[in-house]
Amino acid sequence: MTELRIEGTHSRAKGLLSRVNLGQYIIYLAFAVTFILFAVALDDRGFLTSGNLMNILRQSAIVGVIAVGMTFVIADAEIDLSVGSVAGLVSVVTAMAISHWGILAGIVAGLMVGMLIGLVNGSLVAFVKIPSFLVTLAMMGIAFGLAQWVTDSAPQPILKQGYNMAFGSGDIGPVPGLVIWFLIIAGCGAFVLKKTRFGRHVISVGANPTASIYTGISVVRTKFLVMLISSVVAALGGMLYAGRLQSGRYQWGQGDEMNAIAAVILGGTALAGGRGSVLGTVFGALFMGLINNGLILAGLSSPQQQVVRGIIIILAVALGSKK
Amino acid sequence: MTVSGCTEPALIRMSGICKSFNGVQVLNDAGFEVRAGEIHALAGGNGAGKSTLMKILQGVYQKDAGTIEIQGRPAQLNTYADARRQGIGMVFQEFSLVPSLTVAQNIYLNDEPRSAMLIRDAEMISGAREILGRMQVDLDPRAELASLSTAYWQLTEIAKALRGEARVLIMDEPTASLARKEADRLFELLRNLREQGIGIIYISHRMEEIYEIADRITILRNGSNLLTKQISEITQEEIVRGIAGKAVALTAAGSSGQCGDVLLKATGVSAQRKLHDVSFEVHAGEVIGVAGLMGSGRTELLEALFGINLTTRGSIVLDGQPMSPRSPRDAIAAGVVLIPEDRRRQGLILKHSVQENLVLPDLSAVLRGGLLSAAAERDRAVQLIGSYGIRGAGPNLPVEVLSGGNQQKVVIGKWLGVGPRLLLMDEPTAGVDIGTKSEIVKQVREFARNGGAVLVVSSEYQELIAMSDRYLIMRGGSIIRSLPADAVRDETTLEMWVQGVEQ
Repeated sequence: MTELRIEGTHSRAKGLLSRVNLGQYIIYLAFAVTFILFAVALDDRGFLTSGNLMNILRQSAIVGVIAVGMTFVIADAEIDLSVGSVAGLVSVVTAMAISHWGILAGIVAGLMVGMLIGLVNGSLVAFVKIPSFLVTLAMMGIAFGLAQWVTDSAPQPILKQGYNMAFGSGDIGPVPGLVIWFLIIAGCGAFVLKKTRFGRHVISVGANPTASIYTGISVVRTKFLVMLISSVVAALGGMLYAGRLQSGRYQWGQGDEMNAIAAVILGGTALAGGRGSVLGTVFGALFMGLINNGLILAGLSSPQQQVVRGIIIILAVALGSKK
Repeated sequence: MTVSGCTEPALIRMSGICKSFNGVQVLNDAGFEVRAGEIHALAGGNGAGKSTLMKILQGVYQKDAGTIEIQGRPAQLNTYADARRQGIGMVFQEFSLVPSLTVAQNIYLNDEPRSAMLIRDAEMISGAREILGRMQVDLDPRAELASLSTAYWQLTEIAKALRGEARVLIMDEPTASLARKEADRLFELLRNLREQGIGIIYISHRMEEIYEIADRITILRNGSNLLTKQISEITQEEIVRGIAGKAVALTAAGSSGQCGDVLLKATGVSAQRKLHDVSFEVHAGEVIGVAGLMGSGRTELLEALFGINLTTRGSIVLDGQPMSPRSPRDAIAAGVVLIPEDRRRQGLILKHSVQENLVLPDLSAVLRGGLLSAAAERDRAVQLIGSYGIRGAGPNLPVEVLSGGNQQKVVIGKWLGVGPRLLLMDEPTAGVDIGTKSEIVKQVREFARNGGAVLVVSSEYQELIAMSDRYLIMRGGSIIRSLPADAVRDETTLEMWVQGVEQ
């Protein structure tokens, strides 16, 4: 009708304006500004030493890995709250399998658990069409409970140093192995999201499932796969916890889902789906690590850190959503 | 009681109404009135200005010029709430109801009787019961809406519009989603409300309904009044001619006469939604116009061929190969594509770029070594932008900033780019400017000339006639007639076929 046509021309001018959108890039700016701020203010406390900088990388790495998987889920307009507990469960399963059957069995068992949970999450979300929020909220409790149950709440030490070295405790030259893992996963993630048909389908389904169906894209398959990817990547995160801390424990990864979601959103992926950047997520995770590190160096107590960190995140997101 | 003389002032009188949007004149000196106890039909073709005029009456749009009088007194309607207070109620086409609330809660939504901030449920329920009683409708106000059928949703919608002191009721295509029997009951209700002195503005495309229910009719064309008459003084032909109109000349296609072999043959096809035992053939090089009223099964026919409305019976043979698409993927693989009805929701990903939208249906075309190549994507997008004359945007602009016409060209480019055999189009010229319309018509003709086959659904008859070699007339989910091009001389004859007027 006539009105529709008018609306079209009307929104053209508005659309062009809103196109200059800081949201996707705010994270790089925020990272740079915060980094410089800390570098100046905390210089005398050793912020810029290579040891400290490596520390930031190392401390961001596991949440960063998990956040890469989360980027796919959120870009597809879903959510995965179970990643932290999946990491915890996988850490204990891997540790127990290693002590019984050896390293290879541990790795396989850890990945299998991740895959199994991913299959359940993915099937319930994609085929049964239960909201992912509910499915993964329930799975969060199930995985956490299982991990505590099978271990009787006891830590499961990993004595095979080969595993520990490969999964997070070792270094390659000056670079921590954890950071290498982070780079590999982030590289793969960025590649898949940007360069494959599947990645394009994820973004399309997240932006407009109806148009995607009418374009011949299988929404069900896409949703299933993102949930699967997220769990498997979270399982890898759990194995890295196990290697880095040389043990499996049900608390590993607790609360990581929120940090991962924050990293993804800070990185410019739309919470409502349809837009996603793995590179942004990497910087989102680094930004959170940077803040933690700086606030510790500044001598803030743990409760103070939490408050200040919260304020900084709100500021960053608020700036990003400003047109 | 049909209308007597003009002794009492009209309930509503709008006169000299002008309205333009961004310099485009939509209403020019339009007028309309409705009296107490009258059902006044408002008709006109697409873009005639009916909706705009009614939105002004509801306080949604502000008029640029003209006057509105309510019972003889000039009124200022700046907001929807103003109109409500003046006794103007609207029955929305797409129901404005909340399914999880009860009938009573919906009727009183945002106007709940309260004491000290708390909603008085009992009063609300008895109020709802009173309104429903006035409508002589047997409906429990405590029933949750989600548990009721569409017909009851509409009754609730009407009750909501009548709440307070509504004296005028605006109804926009109220029978579109109703079965015949439900429509009969609705008419009974409208007559009943008329008896109670309520003025009803009845917007409809369906001539037979207008005949059945209305006392007077006003036809708008191009934003001005064409005529206002008593129903008893106007012929069916006059109404049809008035609705069909004639604005800009597009030449009729006529039969191109160069039809090839049968490309698509459907035999006895029924589908899950609204399609019963449909049989037809489409030849290569042929454009078939599918015409019917809203709800006649036009869209459902196209969606059955595209694997969205799953077929339950019958056979479809495309190019000698039997096909029964279970999803759009199947259909696309078989060489069938659909330009969907709702461009913004089904056709495009509005927030994504022109380029991303254009390459999406066939990403394999832009793979280099198995990976998406930005350069190949760009080349393909630029090529499609050129071939389909998409203007006003580079490949990287989000498609939402394009005009309606250019958005539609993106949808067309997106699909013709995959090289289909059968092109399905649902309202391809809706909401696009006149220049784009003729370009679309040309593109469709060209696609057919190159051996493709086209099924096009349109309620814009001018465009339909300009494209089609043959017509299928649909009603109630079936094809009731197949017509050659020369049986449809102009929009009026097509409208008569669609309305079922024998000729």
